[in-house]
Amino acid sequence: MKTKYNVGLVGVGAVGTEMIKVLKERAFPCGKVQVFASRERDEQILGETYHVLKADENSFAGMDIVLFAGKTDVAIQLKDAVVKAGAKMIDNSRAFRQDPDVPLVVPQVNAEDLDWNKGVIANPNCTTAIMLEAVAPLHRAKKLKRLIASTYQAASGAGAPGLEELELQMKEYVEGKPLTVKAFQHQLTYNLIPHIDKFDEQNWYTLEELKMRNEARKMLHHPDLLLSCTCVRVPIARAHSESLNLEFEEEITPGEAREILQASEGVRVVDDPLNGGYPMPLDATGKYDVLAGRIRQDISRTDRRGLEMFVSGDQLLRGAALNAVEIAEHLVKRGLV
Amino acid sequence: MLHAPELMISCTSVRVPIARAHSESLNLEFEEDITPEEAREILRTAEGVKVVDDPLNGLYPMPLDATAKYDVLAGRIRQDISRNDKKGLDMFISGDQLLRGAALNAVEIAEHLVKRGLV
Ligand SMILES: NC(=O)c1ccc[n+]([C@@H]2O[C@H](COP(=O)([O-])OP(=O)(O)OC[C@H]3O[C@@H](n4cnc5c(N)ncnc54)[C@H](OP(=O)(O)O)[C@@H]3O)[C@@H](O)[C@H]2O)c1
Repeated sequence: MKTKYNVGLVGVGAVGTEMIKVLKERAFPCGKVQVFASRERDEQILGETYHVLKADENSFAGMDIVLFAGKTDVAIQLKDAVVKAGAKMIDNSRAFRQDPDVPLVVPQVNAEDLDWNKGVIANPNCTTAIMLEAVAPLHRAKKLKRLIASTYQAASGAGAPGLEELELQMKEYVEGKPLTVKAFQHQLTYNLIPHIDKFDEQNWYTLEELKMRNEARKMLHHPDLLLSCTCVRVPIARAHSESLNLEFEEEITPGEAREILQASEGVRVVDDPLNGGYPMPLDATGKYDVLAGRIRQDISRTDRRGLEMFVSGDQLLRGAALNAVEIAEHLVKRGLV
Repeated sequence: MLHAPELMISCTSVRVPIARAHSESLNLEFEEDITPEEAREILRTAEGVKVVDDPLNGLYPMPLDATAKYDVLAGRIRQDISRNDKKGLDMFISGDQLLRGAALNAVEIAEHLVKRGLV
């Protein structure tokens, strides 16, 4: 087994920058680290200068792991080159998530799926990763049947340009200037936008909403899972929140759910409402754990198979950078790299 | 208000950093089949609500557009894909909580008291 791994990093936007931070924070045993983006340059990232190269088909010789935080087309274009170089590709885009040859993994949910990888591993969509971190342990115990979700998604979920636009709009608003609208379909400041990713013209869900269902089915190995979802962009900087209505095959009480989640990795129960303790995006920002709270029996049911829960999680960490680095750690631990 | 004492409702209420108008993501289950087209038709002929449901042109309810408006905006109307029947709908709405949720509603009640000779 190697003791150091040469790491490539494609993309240094919102997710890529977090990846560099997480690799350092968790002291991943990096050998050589090479950063790639759309053009060559020297770039200061977290106080260090990196010589960034333009990624192409010949970039990956000698690498063990290549973390992708670029866009979908970049991942598609460079996949064969990474695999041919014998490196493991861990991708954040949606390019390969539904590919039957590609495991879709959150380590706390389905690390065992890493064992059948063929060189490429996909990270789920950020909303799915955050949801499943809190839902998978409950599913394992009581079998999830149906889930209704409403999301509250942060501006930085749309990458660095999304966060920049929210901050610019807030400044323009205070200065009484007309607001710049480019990264989002509409003004986000003082507004909510129930439109993330494109619309499916068959059923009029957005692709973001359908990803939640399709990715959850694949990761939970539960092809019959029933899931409906409304995804909404909200004017906050970072961390996504989700209101979840859960229906299980078996009875489950809020007390049991809290106990299960307290014993689970990757999720922290914050559920002391009388003292103002519940998940909020501000408190989830910069944290590895997904926060879960407001756990209560669903009063719209006459049995005990329903729960309500509110979760907040940092979409750049659990939803992207942290998840990708944890996948790399698990590849090492399982001797797969 | 609906004279439906057995109606089952569960809800999570969340404060968001916007100035005015509340929005709600609704998952609805009916006793009878209902399609999104039927729902839109019903709402188009209803008073107090305006259907804004042309997603390809960026038209759906948003609090900025509902602000200072009398009508509640309803859109993103679609068949609930988490059901195997046609009894479920998903919908997103925005309405001015100071108008429909308070001032307008109160004044309309006064108008109806007058109209009905109750005052
Ligand atoms: N933001 C989130 O919360 C989040 C969460 C989960 C997953 N994701 C996914 O992660 C990926 C990255 O998202 P992001 O939010 O970090 O986006 P971003 O802030 O817009 O950054 C995109 C990065 O990709 C690089 N890039 C573009 N074209 C390239 C090319 N041809 N070759 C190499 N690099 C190229 C850009 O390079 P330059 O710096 O040279 O422009 C930039 O550094 C996307 O697939 C996104 O869907 C994002």
